[in-house]
Amino acid sequence: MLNLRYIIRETRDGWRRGRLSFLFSVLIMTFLLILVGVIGILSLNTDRIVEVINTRFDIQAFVANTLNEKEISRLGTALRALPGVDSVDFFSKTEAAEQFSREFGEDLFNVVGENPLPSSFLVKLTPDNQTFEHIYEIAEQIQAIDGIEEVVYHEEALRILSGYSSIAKTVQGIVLVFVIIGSLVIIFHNVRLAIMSKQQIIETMKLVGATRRFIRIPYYLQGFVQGILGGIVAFMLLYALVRFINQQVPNFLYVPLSSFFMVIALGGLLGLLASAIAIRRFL
Amino acid sequence: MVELQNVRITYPTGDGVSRITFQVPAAAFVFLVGPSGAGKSTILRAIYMDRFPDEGHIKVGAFSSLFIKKREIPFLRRRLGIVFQDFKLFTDRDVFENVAFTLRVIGSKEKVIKKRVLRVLADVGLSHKSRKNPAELSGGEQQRVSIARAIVNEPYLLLADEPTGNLDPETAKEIMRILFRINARGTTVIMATHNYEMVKNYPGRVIHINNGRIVNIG
Repeated sequence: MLNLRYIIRETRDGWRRGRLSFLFSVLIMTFLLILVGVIGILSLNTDRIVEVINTRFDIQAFVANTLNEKEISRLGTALRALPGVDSVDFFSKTEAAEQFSREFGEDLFNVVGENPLPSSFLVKLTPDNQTFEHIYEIAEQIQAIDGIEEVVYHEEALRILSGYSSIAKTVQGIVLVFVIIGSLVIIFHNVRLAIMSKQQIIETMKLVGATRRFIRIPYYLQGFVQGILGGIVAFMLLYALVRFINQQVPNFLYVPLSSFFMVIALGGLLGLLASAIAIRRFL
Repeated sequence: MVELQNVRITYPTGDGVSRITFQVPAAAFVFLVGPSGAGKSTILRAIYMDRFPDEGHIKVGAFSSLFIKKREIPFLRRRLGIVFQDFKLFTDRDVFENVAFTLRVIGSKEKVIKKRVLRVLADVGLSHKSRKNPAELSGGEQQRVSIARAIVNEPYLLLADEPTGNLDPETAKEIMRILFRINARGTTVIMATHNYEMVKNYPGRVIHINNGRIVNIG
């Protein structure tokens, strides 16, 4: 029913008339989408860092030297039964001594004359419990078990990391909201100007039988195109940036191609949404 | 074809029309004559349903002011042609596209549009100016573009609001000739004018309006 060629021509005409404001709005969109992209790249790669560190969400529980084998085995069962525990590995006094000599190059028997190292359990947590709050809770529970002398985990490092990650998430959220509002305002304003400049023509269009849909479609398209164009430019710049960084430091950043395309899609979506708001208000 | 029954329209300023009752049969040529502010434009607006009566009702073909839904109004207007005193041409596109717009609205194919626009431009004697912007044309030429836009879709009713109002007498005569030619092909024409002297020179029914009332139906 609607003539595609006509719609494209009307849309193109819209930005030809307001070339400067169209260009400006695409540039701002590009800038805002780059901001979203950078945040996306950072958060994608923070996840990778956290993934690496997650393997350190382990608790080492040292066993009192006075315990016999049976008691130690019972302790292992008790640890496995704790909620949030994924696996429990036992390290005997001998294994501890072997590790010591591997790390320090000295045989402990030669230095001390006996093996003072306690046996221990390495407790690994299930993935959903690999957070600072959970590890703290589980460590407390382990500490409370009779026969466990000491509990060791990367408390400070995990505390800092968890603090950083929550700040980063807040900052990312704020920037994202800012970007969404910013781009909506820019495109909204641009489409509003286009509608205002054609107010009289739009009135006449109605008088010669144009439906609302017929009049509106080119304006929807105008905002959409602005968003998509901003997205494409942002895509290219972000892609170049990631390539450049990875050339300097090989494999530093990992960004799947689909994430780049999400920037274009987000641009289009924001453009369409902003047009829709402007059209609803002014047309 | 067109029927107004006891129509009253009041504007907040107090102006408007009341007790307007008349019928226009198919293929008729009717003049609405009266001084400025008499209510001629209000009646035309009511016919193309840009303004609804506060009282009474209007029927245009199968459309009634009592039952028409807002979303149906564009479909009524596609069956009408409207010509304005100030032409209301689209200044953002050339003559061809001004006329073609009426056909684009109804989703005509490009081939059909080209054929019909060129034919109707030839009809009003503007084939050679199809790529000009309306702003580059004289008043008479602009009004001819406006008429071409109104008739390209072969409407059954042509409404003309002071179509000769802004034109010199010679050009006005030419516009009248075109309107009568359109009427001769079977299109009903309702034309509003304040020029009583001009109306005398043409055949057609005359409805006199003054102060928002019909004072005489000839």
